[in-house]
Amino acid sequence: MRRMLTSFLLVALVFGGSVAYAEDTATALTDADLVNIRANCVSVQAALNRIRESDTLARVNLAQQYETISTKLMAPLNSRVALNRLDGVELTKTTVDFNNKLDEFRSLYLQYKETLSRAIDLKCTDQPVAFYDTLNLARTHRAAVRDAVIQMSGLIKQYSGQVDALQITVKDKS
Amino acid sequence: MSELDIKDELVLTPWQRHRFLVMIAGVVMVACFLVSVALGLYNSSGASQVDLSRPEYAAIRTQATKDGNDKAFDSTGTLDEKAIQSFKDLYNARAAKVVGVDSFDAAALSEESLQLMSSDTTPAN
Repeated sequence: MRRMLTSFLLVALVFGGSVAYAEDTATALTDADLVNIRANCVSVQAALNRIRESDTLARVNLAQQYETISTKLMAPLNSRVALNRLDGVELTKTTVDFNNKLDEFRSLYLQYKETLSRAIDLKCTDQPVAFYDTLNLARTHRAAVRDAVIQMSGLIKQYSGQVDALQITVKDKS
Repeated sequence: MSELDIKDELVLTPWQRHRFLVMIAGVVMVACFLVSVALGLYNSSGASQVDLSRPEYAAIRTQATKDGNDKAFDSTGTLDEKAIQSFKDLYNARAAKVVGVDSFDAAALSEESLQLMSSDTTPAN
């Protein structure tokens, strides 16, 4: 009796978990949608693979430039401003924000890449709904990465404006 | 020394008998632990994202920008107008490579581009 009860609980746990997962991710897809997803998903996965490659390239090139801007340009200028006893509070604040945003960009990209890879690796003909949901999640994560890139561009422009202001201050002093 | 004494001296404990094997197993376990820590750091630090030596990045390896210009701004010295101008030249050259670049555009994953729900089985891109 106890064994039967344990088995029942085990089965309930396994299937209950699956049902809960299905409810969480279920999307209102019609039968025709599912047929289309099954028919197109393999070629879409090939396209996603190409997108992943080009995104990796963008990630590598962007990170290289961001790191150079932070470590070889912003940080040395901030030190030099401090050594020359000039007001560098705003410059330092922007640099801190930039570095924080760079960390955020890295983690957001990782999240996006993992979701995209999951969509690529899914057996989509067997799991069309899961594939559709994962692809939608990848879209959301990609938008978050794009937002981070736009914000970093904003911080780069902000720092440039602050350097212009510093140049005017230095010019007035001399 | 009696024969019994000699026999007592030759009896080895299980630890003494297997100490070489235990040492090898210990070394292997420590190595596995250190490798797992290293792989964890490799993934969590984001280094894996930019590691173009990985087989899946073979196609894009040659396309990655090889940045020969790694000139840094000097962190010491007087900060006059000329120095700031030289900083601005370096900074603007870098900024031009990232500001305004259309990266991670939403269109790439859009339905129009992928045509996942299309009844026509040929995707657009």
